[in-house]
Amino acid sequence: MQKKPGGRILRLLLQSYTGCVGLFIVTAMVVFAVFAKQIAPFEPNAMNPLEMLKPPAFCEGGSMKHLLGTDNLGHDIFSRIVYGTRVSIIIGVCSVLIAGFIGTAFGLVAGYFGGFADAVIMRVTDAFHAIPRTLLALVAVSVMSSGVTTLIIVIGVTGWITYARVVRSEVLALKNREFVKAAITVGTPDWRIILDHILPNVLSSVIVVSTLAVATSIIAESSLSFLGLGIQPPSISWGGMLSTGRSYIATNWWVATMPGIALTVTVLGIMFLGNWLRDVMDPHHTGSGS
Amino acid sequence: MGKYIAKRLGQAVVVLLIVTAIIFLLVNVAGDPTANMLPLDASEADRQAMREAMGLNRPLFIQYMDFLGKAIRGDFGNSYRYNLPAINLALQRMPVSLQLAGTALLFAVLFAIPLGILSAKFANSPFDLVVSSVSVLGRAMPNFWIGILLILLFAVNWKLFPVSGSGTAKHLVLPAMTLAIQSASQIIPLIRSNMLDVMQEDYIRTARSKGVGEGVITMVHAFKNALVPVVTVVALEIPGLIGGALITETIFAWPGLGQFLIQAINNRDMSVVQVCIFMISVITLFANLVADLVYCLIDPRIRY
Amino acid sequence: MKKGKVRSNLRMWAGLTAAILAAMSLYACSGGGSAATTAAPAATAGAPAPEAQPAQTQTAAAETTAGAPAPASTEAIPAPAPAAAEPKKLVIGAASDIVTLDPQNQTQTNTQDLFATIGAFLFKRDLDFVIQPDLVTDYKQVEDTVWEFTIRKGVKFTNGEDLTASDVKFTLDRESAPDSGLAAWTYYKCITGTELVDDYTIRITTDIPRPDMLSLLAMSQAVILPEDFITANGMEAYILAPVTAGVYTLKEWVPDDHYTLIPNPDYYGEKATWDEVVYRPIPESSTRVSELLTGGVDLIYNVPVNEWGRVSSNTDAGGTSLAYGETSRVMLLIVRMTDGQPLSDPLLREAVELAIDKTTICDALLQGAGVPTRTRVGSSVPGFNFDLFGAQADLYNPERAKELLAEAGYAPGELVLDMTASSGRYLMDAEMAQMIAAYLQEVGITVNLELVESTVISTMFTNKENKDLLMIGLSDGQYDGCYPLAHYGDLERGAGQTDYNSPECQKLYQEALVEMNEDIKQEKEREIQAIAAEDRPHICIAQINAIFGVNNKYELNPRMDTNIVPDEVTLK
Repeated sequence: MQKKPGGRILRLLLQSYTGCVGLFIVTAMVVFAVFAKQIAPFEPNAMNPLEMLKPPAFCEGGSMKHLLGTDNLGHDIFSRIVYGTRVSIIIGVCSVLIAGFIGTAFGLVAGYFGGFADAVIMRVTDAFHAIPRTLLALVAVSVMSSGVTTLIIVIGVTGWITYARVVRSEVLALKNREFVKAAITVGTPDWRIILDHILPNVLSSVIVVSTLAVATSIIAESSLSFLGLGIQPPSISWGGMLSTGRSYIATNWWVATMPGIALTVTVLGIMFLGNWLRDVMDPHHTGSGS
Repeated sequence: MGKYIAKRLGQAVVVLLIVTAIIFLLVNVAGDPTANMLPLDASEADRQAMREAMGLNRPLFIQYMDFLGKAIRGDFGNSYRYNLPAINLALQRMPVSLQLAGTALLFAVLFAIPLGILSAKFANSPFDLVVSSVSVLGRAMPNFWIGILLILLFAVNWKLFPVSGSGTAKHLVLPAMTLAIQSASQIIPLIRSNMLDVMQEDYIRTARSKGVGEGVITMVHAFKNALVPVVTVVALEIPGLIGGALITETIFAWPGLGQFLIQAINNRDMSVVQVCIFMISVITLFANLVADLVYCLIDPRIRY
Repeated sequence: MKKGKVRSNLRMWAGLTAAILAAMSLYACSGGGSAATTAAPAATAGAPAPEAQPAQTQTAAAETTAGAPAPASTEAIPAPAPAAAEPKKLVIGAASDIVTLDPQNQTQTNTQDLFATIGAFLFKRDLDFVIQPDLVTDYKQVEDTVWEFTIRKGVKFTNGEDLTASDVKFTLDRESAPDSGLAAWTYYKCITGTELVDDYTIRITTDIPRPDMLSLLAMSQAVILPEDFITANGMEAYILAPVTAGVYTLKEWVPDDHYTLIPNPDYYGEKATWDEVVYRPIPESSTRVSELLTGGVDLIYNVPVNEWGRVSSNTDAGGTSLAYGETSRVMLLIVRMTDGQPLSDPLLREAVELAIDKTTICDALLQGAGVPTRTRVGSSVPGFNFDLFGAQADLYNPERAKELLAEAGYAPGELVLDMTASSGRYLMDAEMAQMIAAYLQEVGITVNLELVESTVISTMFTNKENKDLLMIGLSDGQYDGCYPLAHYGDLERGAGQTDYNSPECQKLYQEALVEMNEDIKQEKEREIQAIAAEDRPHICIAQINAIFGVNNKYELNPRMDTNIVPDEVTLK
């Protein structure tokens, strides 16, 4: 590492236009989630039968009172989007933690020990890979009752295979490196080698995979909500808002469009940030021969 | 090569066994199917009688061995809902699903290849930026959103295509587009980055220094090599397209496997859920196998 | 791995071309290819009569749906307008597909719809929902528990066989057998014996006197099955290709795509109006509405409230409009009034009902598609209590509700109720539940609202896992007053769910159940409703309407069972 790693990262960030945008979006999202109460002008579940389906402020018939309009129950859409950030972040981050933990553990074991453990883990990975993830999640959610916890577990448990594969291949490469070989010769216990020497070296790949996985998780939640198996009101999620709003697309477009834009922008932001992180942490990846 | 294929097939069998276990466990902790078969007002005694008649009160392990034994013979039980063998019902949906997936894949490749090449060719130009952003958008937008918008624009407003249903080629366009937009969004960045990698290679530089035209370089030299890994990705998109068409099929009332599965899940029609997931898994494994074989056919450096 | 050399170009191109060709051929030969594959299941299903199977092929699908959608070039959308020589065709967009072709193993509206149209029944309900003899020419009650029916001679099934009393016996025996495992069994288990008097006369014996016998026989589950055909070929053959005797016959069913009815040339009654009736299941409501607007279909079920504007203001395809149908479906809160539960206190149950503004729910949320009610019996069901319906059923009085809460000893916010409701099962159900929760909050009741998926709610209901309040829509499968009142009159029904125990209701119910005098029976049924409305094991909110979208070329008068009977749809 260099003297001032922070400075290096900052410089790299400033070089990347998309990285900046990504970081800005993700920061904004976190701020929304943390300060939802202060930012949202209305209580997100406050119903107002008199103000149902009001268009956004910038449209004819809209007012500044409801910046992004109201939905079919007179909820303020802006407030709901702000609160919805929480669910998206919680689901995105927690499910990725679960997936990352399971996947990394399996990847480490499979890669390091090889042999039978590797064969078994790889076949299980194949099995999970053979069932499309949406399907697996769908059946799992329909079996358990729907709720934030269920969704986190389901999206997490169905998402670990990418980690397992990436980590395993990295470990296979690391095993042939001098410092690992040295540690083995000295008789260091396996678990120490894994924790001290191998894990720190695969972490950067894990982080890169994770950023993109957060985006995928957020999309997965919205897809499940569309099918009626996601977060249910009165809990607020963008997927749920999109799903109730979809029958209003032809008549009151903003009900679904606003959370749709929020979702798209967030996913874009995370992807930008993730791509940038990849460039920073894993310079060989772009492999442009330089 | 033959040995390699045999080994892969052996692995596939093991994987399928694990798949059945996952499916069975998942499905059998599911809710009580009798809940949705009898009218809401039916009494508890009626329900119990029904459960017994269907063999749902046996131990789980016995039910699994029973399931596996029959599954090997291609018998996945009857659909509670249709009172017909589940596997036949699912097989019936396959052609329509494959038709949709095939068309979507074709669209996706037709979109993705030229856009991927051009954005690599003009890397970092405004064109590249637009294509990149659009492909990220394509991945970020939920596909029910894309589907409903396509219906409103192309079917309701411009009346170019029928709203929903199946049968003619015209019916195929909108649902296939919906799926293709997402697939293409996955493939474009891949082609682009492969192209960029290949363009840096020595032999391209050599060709360039020999005065070979840019167009020839792009098409003949670079593209061919950039395509190698893309074949794998395209093959991997197939099961995703079939299984992932759940939402698209529901929106467009497309009578494929996806919609069938969604309804089966909603009705807790376990036999159907099991057989559908099983079939999709088989297709996935097969597609993976084919992709690997194609890969090693077209890239002779990979030896097994 | 990316350092590819130029060696295997040819092979790679071959591979790619093959892949594209494969995709194209899939696309091109979808017709022929799938026909071959779909034929296979019929053989493996052990259908002994493959020629009788509905043609479940893609090519057939292409023929039937090709005419419906609008080609881009012409400005007028060719809805299947019946010109003089052209066949008269009606295309109906349903929210879901039929579930099975075993009429006795389903309780689903669309399937009932189908059998009501293709089947022959002893009795049928007319447009006004009055039970009329259909196959029956003469009937009498021999004893309180014994009925005798004489049926029409010369009626033929679509396979040419005669329909006789022995087919009726076969039908009823199948669904009343205790080990039948059929969904219809719960209705027909009261039949303890059937006996043939002669070829066209049958006697039916019931466990207790059943004044509701005729309504049972008019249900779609009582469609007459062909005994000889089923004994010879098995029920599977029937399920693949039903042999029926109704006004239409099923030409083909392509699951999740469409099913087509054509007139039955041998039908004994009035000839069919339409040369072809096509039902298309379109689950996504906005798609269904779009199909109606563009003329892809002529009639649709279940138009969601927010799409009403789109349907009634549409001028494409000759214009479209809405048709409202009364139903027997009542949205209600199931109350857990078990001892020890907060809602065992009648004051609190009253407070809950008084806190809810049913009128606003019906007007603002349902846009008039609902009527406030205090009874679980539908307004057109015999025995319905009119005093508990309409504006007078809205007891909204938040001030009084607050007082009641205080009387029961609860400070504002102190009473916490768990409420469960479905999302997407009924018209605006999630929205309604949220409104109800908000109303309860307003009077100082804290509500933990949980919205669950459609099937979860029925599981909770049947497994009696309901918490303090469970919102559900109950309808009347039989259209007899006693059917919906069983909950109040039969202790076992309510046990573990509401735990409602009213000896008074039970007595009246037992009397009504066997009362052969229709007027006295209905009087008792009305009394039960009045008692239950005060005791509140169910807090009824609204009776909801069925909303259909209709192309202006057609006229539809919706029936109470929400079925669309093709011959009740007329051309304007």
